[in-house]
Amino acid sequence: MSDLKIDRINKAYGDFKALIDISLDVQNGEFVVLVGPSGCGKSTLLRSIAGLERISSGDIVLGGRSLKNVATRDRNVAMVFQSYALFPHLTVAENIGFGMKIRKRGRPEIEETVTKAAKLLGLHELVGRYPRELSGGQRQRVAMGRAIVRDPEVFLFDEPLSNLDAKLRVQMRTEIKALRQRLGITSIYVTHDQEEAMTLADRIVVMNEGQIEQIGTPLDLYDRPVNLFVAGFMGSPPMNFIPCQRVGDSLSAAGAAIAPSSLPSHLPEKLVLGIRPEALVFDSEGALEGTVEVIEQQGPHTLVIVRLDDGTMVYAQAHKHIRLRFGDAVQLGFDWSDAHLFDGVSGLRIELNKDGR
Amino acid sequence: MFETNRWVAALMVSPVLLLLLAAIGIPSVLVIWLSFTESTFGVGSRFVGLDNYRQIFADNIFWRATLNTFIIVNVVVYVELLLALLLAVSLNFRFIGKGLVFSILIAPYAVSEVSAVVMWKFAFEPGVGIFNILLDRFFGIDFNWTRNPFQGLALISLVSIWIHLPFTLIILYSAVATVPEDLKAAARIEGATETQVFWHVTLRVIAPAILIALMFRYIFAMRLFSEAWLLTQGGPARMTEVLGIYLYRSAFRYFDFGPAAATGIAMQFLSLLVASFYLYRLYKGMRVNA
Amino acid sequence: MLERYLTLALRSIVLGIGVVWSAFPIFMVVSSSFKTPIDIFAYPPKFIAFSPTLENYSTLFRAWPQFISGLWSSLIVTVGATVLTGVVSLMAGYAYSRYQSRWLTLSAFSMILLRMLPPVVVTIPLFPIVNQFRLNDTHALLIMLYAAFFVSLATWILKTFIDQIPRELEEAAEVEGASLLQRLTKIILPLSVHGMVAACVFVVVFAWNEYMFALIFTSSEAKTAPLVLAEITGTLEGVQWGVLFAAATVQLAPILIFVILVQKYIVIGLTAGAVKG
Repeated sequence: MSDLKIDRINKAYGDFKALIDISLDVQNGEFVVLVGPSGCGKSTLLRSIAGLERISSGDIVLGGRSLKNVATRDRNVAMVFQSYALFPHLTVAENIGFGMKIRKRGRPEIEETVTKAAKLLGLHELVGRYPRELSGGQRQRVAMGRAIVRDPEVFLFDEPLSNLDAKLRVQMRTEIKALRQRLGITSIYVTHDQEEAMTLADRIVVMNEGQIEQIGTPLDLYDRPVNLFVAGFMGSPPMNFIPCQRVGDSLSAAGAAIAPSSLPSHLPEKLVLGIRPEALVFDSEGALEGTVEVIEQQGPHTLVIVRLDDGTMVYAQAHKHIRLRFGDAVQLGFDWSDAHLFDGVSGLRIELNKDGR
Repeated sequence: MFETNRWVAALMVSPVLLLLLAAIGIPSVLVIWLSFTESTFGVGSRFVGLDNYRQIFADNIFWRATLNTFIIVNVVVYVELLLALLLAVSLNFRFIGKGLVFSILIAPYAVSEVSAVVMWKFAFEPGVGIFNILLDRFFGIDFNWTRNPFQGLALISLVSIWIHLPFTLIILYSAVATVPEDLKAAARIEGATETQVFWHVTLRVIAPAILIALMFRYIFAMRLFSEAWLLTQGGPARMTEVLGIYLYRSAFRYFDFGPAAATGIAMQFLSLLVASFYLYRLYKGMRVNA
Repeated sequence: MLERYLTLALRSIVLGIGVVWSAFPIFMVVSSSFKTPIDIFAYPPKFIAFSPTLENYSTLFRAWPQFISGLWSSLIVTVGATVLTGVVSLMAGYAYSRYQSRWLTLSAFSMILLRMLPPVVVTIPLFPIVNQFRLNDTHALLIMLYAAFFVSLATWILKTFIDQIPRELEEAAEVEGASLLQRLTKIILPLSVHGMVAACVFVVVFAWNEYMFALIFTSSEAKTAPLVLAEITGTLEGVQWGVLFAAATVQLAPILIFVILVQKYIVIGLTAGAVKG
């Protein structure tokens, strides 16, 4: 296991810039998740670390060694592909032992290591089978097995769970988490699913259009997103954005005057108020007024979509037994300590002075 | 991809290209030069300008060979096409033993020209061959192809068709088998008879395959040498020669490499003429893909 | 309903005639090779050798020892040409499948163009060159010539097959430490076996049966079976038909069995190759 240092790398395909000045330090044993919408460059970054893409400039340093002129096969990284990339003509055992065979390890050693890995992943009864005879989850495990037997310096995951159905995905997520806690492997994990990122990561890297928007722990990103993009990307249903205007010491949002306890002094005129659905409460004293548009029963709670007076739609998470109907007039309140304020032009977050935070 | 760059690609393609250049490319260019020189065994050559061309164009046997080639190629190609089409359409339904029937139909593909000639010579051996006896008995035809040039050409064509029918059949049958059943069903619902379905649906869909089969067969049929050489050696009196035999005789019997090369140029020209249409389409297709 | 029976009848007749047309000449030669000289030209013909004899075969191997060396030559040349075609076409097919550039496209195009040229023409300039390098009457020369006329088709067939192997498999192998050569032998080759067979059947049949190049470029050492067979035909006197049939049967039997076994691949190969090259 080693530290991974990514130093201002760029990658361009002709005029298109896939990666722009990416820098990232990954500590030994850390689990870092790259997350972002499709086309944001997260997979390109991962493939650059593996050497499957050639970077245009910058450097990647793994365990103190620059990978600039190191071919993929000499990088000592392991990778789990979205399609699993299992060799269809090889059995489970041969797939798992492929890398060791390529490196000309002895047969007894390969057999022992493969058996151990297969046991760890619950595959020991399937070692003689071919990939086409396995279920999706089993294939996923074989791909994991192939990666772990190699004892690599870093472990790369390229959306490994996206081909599984929802239930299996949650199960495999848990297994990956258990596995990494057991093996303590330095890992980079790419996903477009922010929930997967939240559950797995020590630190999350949010990417957009070839750039890093924010790096932080899951809670950091959730509680203190640096801008509208991160705020909107993390959390489901997403954070509500309500455009508002500064009027003196007060704010005007959706036709209502709302004021935090302490408003920072130099606020721009155009602002965006960000409130997560779970922070909005149905409160007859609430400042925001609107009508109920849609009610979605979700089991543990009920999601209500409310059209505010200025036409903005917001999600509010309510108690599951709330009695509301389409068209009901409602008031919504919130606590300023749960609210976020963003610059309406740059989209950057404005720090509010909040007690205890 | 990674360690792989254009040099790797070039290196991997080079054995094939070297082989092609050494065996076909460079010789094909050398032929042009040889066609303007006079030499025996290709050595001690002397530039003679267009003399070789003048010589072959003044030679009646060259024109006879050209005419024979033209006749045989067209007969072979179109008879094959017709037979293959008939067989392909007839094959295109489910029945027990279809695999066996198909195997038998393509079996001549495995037969060498030499063996095929042995087979047909035996069947048409003047006086004793079974077909000769039958032709004589039922139609009163004295089929002595060793003496009658017209019958000689007919037998050469027959053997050639027999050997190469499987090639055309395979291409056409694969095409016929991919005509969507829905399409034919739709035509039947509209009231089309089986004959109409064939003309208006099947034939339309397989038209590109017919074109490809035609072109390949034209190019390959022009190469005709072995069957003809083994059956008649161009005889009697060089009346059944084709261009391939004319070239072979000039070069390896009379050791006149100049006229042989000029004949070769004529053959290349004719082949490329037919091929150019196909190559043009292919090249456009590849430019789009690349 | 009547139309349906009519088409069925027509189909049966056409196929029946087709089967007789294809099988009869082969059948006659093979069955006659077991007949006595008197039975061979019996009229009406005896389709089955009622008193089968191996006399023709023993005469063949006694009177024509060069036929055995011809078979041996044919085997060497066929195996050689097939291996050469397979190896170089796999490499080229891989390159054409995985890389793209104007030069590659151009080279692919010229490959097909060269294949269109008539083989007999190249013999004229090759003849003095071959003599110069003392390559005449060698197996190596025939191997090279036979491979040259089939690498283009084989390359296209293999490219079509390699196109269907996901790149991710190779990337996974590369991450696991495999070099280009290891990817070719451990991933690409095993996954394109069918393509390899389809690419090679044509050169096998061609090399085993070829007559013209062998006639021009061999004289004794490298003489192939078809050439010796043609010689037997040439020296024919009435009584020796049986020997000729025996020789034809020996030359034909292995390749006929081979073609029947791999007919699936012939169809695959011709459809994959003919559409492109």
